[in-house]
Amino acid sequence: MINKKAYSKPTIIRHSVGVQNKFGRPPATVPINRLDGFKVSELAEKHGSPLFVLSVKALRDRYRDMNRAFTTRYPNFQIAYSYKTNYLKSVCNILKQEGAWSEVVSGFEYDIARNIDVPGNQIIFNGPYKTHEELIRAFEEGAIVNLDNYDEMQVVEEIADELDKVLEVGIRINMDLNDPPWHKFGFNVEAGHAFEAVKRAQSGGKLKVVGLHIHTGTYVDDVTVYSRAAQGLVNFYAYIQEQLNIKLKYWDLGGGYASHNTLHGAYMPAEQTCPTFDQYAEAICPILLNGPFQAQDAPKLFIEPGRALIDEPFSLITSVVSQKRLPSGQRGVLLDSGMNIMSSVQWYRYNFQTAQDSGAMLEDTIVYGGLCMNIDVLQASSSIPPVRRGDLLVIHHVGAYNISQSWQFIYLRPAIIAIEDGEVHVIKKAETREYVQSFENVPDSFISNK
Amino acid sequence: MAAFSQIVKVVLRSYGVLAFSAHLIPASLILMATFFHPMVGLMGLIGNGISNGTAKWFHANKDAWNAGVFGVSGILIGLTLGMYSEPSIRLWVFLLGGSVFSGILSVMLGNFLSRYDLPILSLPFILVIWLLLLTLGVSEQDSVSFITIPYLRSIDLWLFKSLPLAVFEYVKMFGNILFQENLFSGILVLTAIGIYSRISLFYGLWGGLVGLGTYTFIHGSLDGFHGLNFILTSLAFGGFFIVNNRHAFIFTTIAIIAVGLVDLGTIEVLGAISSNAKNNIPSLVFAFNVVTLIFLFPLKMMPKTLDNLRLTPIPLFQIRSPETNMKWFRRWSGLKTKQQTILTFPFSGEWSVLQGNHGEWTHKGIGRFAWDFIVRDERKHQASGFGLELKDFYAFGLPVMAPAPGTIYAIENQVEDNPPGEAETERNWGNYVIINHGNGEFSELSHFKQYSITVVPGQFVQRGDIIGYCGNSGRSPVPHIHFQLQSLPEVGAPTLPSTFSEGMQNKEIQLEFIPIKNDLVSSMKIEADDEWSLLGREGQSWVFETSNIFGVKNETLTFRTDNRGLPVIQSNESNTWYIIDRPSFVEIRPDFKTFSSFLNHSPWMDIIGDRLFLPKKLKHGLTTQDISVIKKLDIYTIKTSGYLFVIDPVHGIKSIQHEENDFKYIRVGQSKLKK
Repeated sequence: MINKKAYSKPTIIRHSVGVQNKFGRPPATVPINRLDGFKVSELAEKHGSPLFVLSVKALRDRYRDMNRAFTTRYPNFQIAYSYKTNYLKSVCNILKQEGAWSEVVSGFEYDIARNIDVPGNQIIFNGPYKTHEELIRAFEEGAIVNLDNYDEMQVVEEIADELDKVLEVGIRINMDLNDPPWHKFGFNVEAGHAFEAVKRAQSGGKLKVVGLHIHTGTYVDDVTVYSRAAQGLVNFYAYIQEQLNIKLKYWDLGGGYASHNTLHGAYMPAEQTCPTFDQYAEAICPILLNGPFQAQDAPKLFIEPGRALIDEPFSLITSVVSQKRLPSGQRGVLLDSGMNIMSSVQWYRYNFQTAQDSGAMLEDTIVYGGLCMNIDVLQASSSIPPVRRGDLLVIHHVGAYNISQSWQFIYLRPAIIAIEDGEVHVIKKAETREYVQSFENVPDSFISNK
Repeated sequence: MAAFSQIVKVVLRSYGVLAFSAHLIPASLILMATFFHPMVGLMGLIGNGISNGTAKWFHANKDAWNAGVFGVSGILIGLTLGMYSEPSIRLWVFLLGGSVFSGILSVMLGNFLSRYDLPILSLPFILVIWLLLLTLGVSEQDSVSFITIPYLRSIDLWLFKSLPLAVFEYVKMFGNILFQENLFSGILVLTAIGIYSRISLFYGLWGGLVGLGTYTFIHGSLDGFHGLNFILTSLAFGGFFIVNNRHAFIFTTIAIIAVGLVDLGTIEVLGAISSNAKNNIPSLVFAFNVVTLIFLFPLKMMPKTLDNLRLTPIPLFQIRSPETNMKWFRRWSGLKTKQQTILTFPFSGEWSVLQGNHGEWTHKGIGRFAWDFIVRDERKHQASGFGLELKDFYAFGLPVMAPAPGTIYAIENQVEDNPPGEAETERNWGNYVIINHGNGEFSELSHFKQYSITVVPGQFVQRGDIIGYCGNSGRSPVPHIHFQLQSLPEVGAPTLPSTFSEGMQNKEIQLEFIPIKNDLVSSMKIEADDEWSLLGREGQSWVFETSNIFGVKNETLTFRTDNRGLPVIQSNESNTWYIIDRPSFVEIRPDFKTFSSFLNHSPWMDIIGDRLFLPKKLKHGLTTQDISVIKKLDIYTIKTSGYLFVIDPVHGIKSIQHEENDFKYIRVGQSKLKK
């Protein structure tokens, strides 16, 4: 039988191979036909498309790289992985194996951590909304709790009464570090709220302030923001030490570390702008070590990276469903994955790379997701070589938020596999209709009579 | 009654000290030998008593007094006055005054010399007796004074005639120690030495032999030969003050020859001084005292410079015999480390050993006990990218920390960093910091980044304080930290064999370890559930109870500080263990020097053995090579070296049990603080 090629209307397009424009170089046209040694086509065939692929080695390397950069600069350092970016059990387990603690922001995430046997005293419980029950459990299990507001402080004081002991807490603070400032979490330093909060917590007699937490923002690729935050912490610590005689057990610089994904508004590609972990560490640690203490008594430094650890190790295999010409003449490509599993397209400008040799003739293309929704555009303008229905594309660096924020909508969510040491493990099966509907209940009275 | 028997013992021991023996039987034999001239012997005994009494009256050091060292000069004064002067009332007065004076002098010299850990020997005797003899005059006596006891005298004379002269002189020489010139004294003294130590017997005989040779060689004949200085010096160095080995043998022999020179020189000088007296003032034991102190001083002051000569690891007054010295020394040197400094890694995080001890490039010869540390990433690379620039190297610019507390002794901050791959061989050490740990040990860290050193000489640093930043200055082709422990403060001084006291080696907790090439090392990281401390308050005691078939027995462990201010635990009044407080562990190390007798044997001695580590940072599941920790209801059980320590973080050790047998050591109480 002759394999007939699909017809497409002839078009004249300008060649612009390998020319750098103000957004950097166009993506390489070398096909990505293997992921960690496995043929992309075979993976897609066996596990379906779309398919999330985790390179376990890449994840471990990211963690170790970050840990090395900070531990060689600060003697008492601990990474607490931000669960919200991706709380797949396998991911949490691998990072626990590597030595990461867990940073959780809800009772649900707390439960995930406890479920994989993270000891209570290796969990940092942040987040602006923690229930009474969740807080009791956290304190009973020795978790680190950082307080966000006075209401929460009051709840914790009540818990202190219930448990009949003085509870050790951290206070979340914020300061003007970037524009727009992040004032959602904690108490503001410049306005004096933070000092008042520490004083208030301490003077109640039920709480003991042993930690400070600051979160600088998200995707902060300017390391000087962290330097300013670190200096702010040192100054604030020195002040509360002097005024309130507080001795910190830890301070926490939160998350926000950038990954190698380019933001929509970015001028340069992330490969050139994303700071290395060494640069982040160098911006933070020497300043903190100038704090009001002897080096060997330095408070434990926590950071809570999420995206910086988990973005790079994940890739998405997706396939072309169809292509078309728009009235403007621009080419459109429709993929089998949509915003339901790729929510981060809102802020990232991804590269779509082919998994087979499709030539080097890049063309400006609009990439649509597969949802039956007008807004489901994965990329309004992307340079992609000619692809046909059934061709596979690979999107790198998709680990953060996409999976934890994915929603089941129109389509079932795909399988997730992990590759390590030449072995493929399915870490999450593709959803089925039965699974999606398993919690549903239809009263008999709703069922139409035969 | 107890006091009386104690006095008798001390008086008796003083006789033993004459021949470097602490045992009572040899001491009794020597006492017996002095009574071959009953009157002389009596004077010696009286002198002994008075000297010891005076020293007691002056509150002399208790240990020294118990050992009998203050009686020595009194005995010798008694013996000398008896031998060299005519009996008279004046003589008895001189004996009384001289003994009191020598007692006081002994206390004074003892105080002074103990600062240098030197013995007083018979120095007070020499000073006092010369003064006395200059006043009293030396009476004419036979150089060979046979025993005055009638029956023995005839045997003595008969032996003199029948034995070959050389043998007679050789044995007789040992009686010289007591200023006696007869064969019986010689035999008794020899027997006494032989009873307490075969090594001393050998050295005594060897000392006599070398002495005879030296004297004959220098003086030309055996005329006026007295062997006592040679024998005493030989006994002193032959295993008593220094541990016997072949180096000690050579050292001792040199000392004996030196004695010959000093003694003959002294005789000449004394001859000139006492030209007006009827007879020459005898040189007595002056040569022995002088040579022993002169030869001992450098060893005491610079113990680490002479590698092969080992000082006895026991306080002066508790030395028993050359054999026990060797035994303690073996135990002491069997310990993995002798270093005083508790070393931790001079950096933060995980580093890799580029070159270890006895390295293939530069850690050779006197520099063999050193380490070079670098940082490697997951791919084992030292730098990101191609490593063309210094800043690509992970290690470059990382903080370098003090490996132990101390005072900055010297720094160099001016040497520029080499580009990668190049090394300066002129200023090998580049920018460096030398830290004086105050215990005779110095840390030297090298190859800092130019102008990065953050400390100044004279500044005190704590463990872990940042002292500078890693660079590539000096003989350093890639950024790294060079570390070594040394016994002298100069840069490039010989390295000391050393171990890192605690840390992680290839992700495992290690104590007292020597990282080797390519090891991944980092400081200890224990997320403790609880912490406890073994240290009690000064004078506080723990009472432990054990029971065996003979019944229930208590042992009291008391917390004290030793004279250097180090915390110790003491049991049975004298047996002492150091408590060495490390960052994450506590080490209990016996101070073997204080284990004066096995009569004071105790369960605690068995439990601790040669050395014991207990984690201070308690964590359920913590395991090292030979320690494991289990937590149950806030009580921790630490399993180590066959024992189970049950520890309550608040109150400390509750009990100790043996894993296999039914030995139980239970804390029954805590005595009140002594004032």
